[in-house]
Amino acid sequence: MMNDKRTILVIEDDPYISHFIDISLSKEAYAVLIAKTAAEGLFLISSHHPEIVLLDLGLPDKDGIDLLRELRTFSDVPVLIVSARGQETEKIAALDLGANDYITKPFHMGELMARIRVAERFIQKSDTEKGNTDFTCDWLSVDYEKRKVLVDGEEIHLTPTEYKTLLLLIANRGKVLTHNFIIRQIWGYEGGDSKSVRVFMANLRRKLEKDTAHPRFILTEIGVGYRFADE
Amino acid sequence: MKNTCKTLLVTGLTLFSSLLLSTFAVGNESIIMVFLLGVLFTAVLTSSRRWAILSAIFSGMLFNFLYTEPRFSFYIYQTNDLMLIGFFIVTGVVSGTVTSRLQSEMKLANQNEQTAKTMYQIASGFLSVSGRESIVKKAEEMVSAYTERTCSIQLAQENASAPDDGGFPIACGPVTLGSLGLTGDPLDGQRHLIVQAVCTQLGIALERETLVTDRENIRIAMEREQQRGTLLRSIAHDLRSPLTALSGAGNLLSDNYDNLSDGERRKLASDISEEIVWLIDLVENILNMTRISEQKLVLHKQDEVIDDVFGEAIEHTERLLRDRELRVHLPEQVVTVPMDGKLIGQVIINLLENAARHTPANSRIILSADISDCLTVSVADTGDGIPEAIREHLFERFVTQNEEIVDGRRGLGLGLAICKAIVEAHGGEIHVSDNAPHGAVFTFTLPMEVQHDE
Repeated sequence: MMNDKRTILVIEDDPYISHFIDISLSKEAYAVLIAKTAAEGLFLISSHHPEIVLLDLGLPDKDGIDLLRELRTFSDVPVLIVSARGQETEKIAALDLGANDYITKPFHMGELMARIRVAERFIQKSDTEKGNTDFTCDWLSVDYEKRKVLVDGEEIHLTPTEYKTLLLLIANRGKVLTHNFIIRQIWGYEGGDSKSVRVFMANLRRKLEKDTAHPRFILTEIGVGYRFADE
Repeated sequence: MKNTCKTLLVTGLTLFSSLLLSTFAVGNESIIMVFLLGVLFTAVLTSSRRWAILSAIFSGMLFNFLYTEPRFSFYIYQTNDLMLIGFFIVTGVVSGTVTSRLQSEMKLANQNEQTAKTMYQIASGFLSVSGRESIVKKAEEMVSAYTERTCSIQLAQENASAPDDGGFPIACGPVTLGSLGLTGDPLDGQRHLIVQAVCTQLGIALERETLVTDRENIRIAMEREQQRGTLLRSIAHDLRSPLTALSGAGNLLSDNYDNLSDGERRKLASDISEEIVWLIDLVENILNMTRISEQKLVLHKQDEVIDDVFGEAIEHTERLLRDRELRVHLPEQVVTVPMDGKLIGQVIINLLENAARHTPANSRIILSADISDCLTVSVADTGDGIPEAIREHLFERFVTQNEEIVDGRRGLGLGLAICKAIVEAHGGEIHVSDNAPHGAVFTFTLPMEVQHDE
């Protein structure tokens, strides 16, 4: 198991960015592959079967979104999108196309590492059986069997929909869930009004968080969706 | 008809006076003068050459009938009388003609003066009016005032030729701008001329309006160009100092890595990353600024919960506010407000950064949101407040607290200008007031309802 280094493919045309990502990831004992173009990236995916793909949206030969669409036809490898700030529409499109997460340029290495760890957890989850154990993090704990949510050991009341949403968030913790995704999963239809989701999430947050302006668990990605933080 | 009456009246009076005179036994030479006077009066009163001549001939015949020997017959016995009548008729015809011509010329001159006056009024009337609509309205008023007709003015759309509906064309140079249609019968010469004059002046006024608009556009474009120049200069200037620091630290690290102690290396590296964070923020603000200056600020309005926007802004400024005490007040209820979450987040970030930059460590910063008929967000600090000198220009571009510290890390002074532009694009307002006992409060408002007027 010691030699079982995970392989990460970085598809990025900027040599400086790919260089520092290469160094940082190698330090963390990952095997790193670098592709400068979409074509090279696709080739490396089929030849080396990387465990995680870091995909820059702005590539010289092809739009990253198109590459992702093509990739999803034959592979379920976790994809982390690297995009510039302000490209909310592209981010949502990428997430809805099956990207696992995104990170906004410029980012700290620590942020990237956290995202990679989240992606790894998804690999492990598909490897091992989902253990339906209780969830506990800081002051929040959820008892799955009794359907109880405790804040600082005190039970709080959640509506059935809120409870369902919390479970969805916890199951996807660390990952960005788009408004559309949440609507689809909780209310079961497509393309609803994201306003109701926002209000709903804000209310849920007020029940769970101690400082709503400084949320510990339910983080907002403005214009995109929500991320449940457990680290 | 009128002239017949006048002529008959004058002739009657002449006859009466001549009869009166003849009772005093004056000579025929004097009596004929009375008739000559009559002819002159006829010419003056009728201003007509025809009536003057007729009157002369008739008077001559009357004189012949009444006063020459043999009296009460058209026979003339004396050569003297014949000469008298002959000269009388010639004199009457000539003087009558001259008088009547003079009369009609005077009348014409009067009319011309009146027309000139009207033309002047038309021309000067347009000078005080600006704006296409009011110019057209003015023209309509003029036409109805001078011709007592209502008219309708059709202006051609940009780049389309004017419809040819038989009205008066409104043109300036070779371009037809529109047409003026009149109701009712065709106009007489004078009024026709007036309407044409109105059309000409209207064309000139409209052309002038176009020129003014063009000039205004050019001025705005030039101003924008100038602003862009200033922006570029400031950016280059502001970038130079952090870049110098970065390249220095980077060189030191790569060239003298082995000679540096562990602590020194760590310090250099953290300096670099700090400097870079500042550069990133600068670039973000510059990007926003260029979007705003190009007037392409597209708002992606969505109903955002204010909690979310605050959360994002606070997360972004966490490093900067490390050693400040930040208090947050949120409204009791979860309320959504239509806004571009990213941009309003940027406004709050800029205000928080501003507060952090101008307050000493450990001071308190209060970020609060209040909802009534609009959303009110305020950032209060306990710094030194805003100096009077720059308060007025606070939200203009490139204002920093101290003009001399251009090399310091004071930013471009773009932050507040961006805040203002963003808030105003949302239909809100931003202003600054004093905090008690010291410090400044920046407050901005956002309307709660989505505006449907676009």
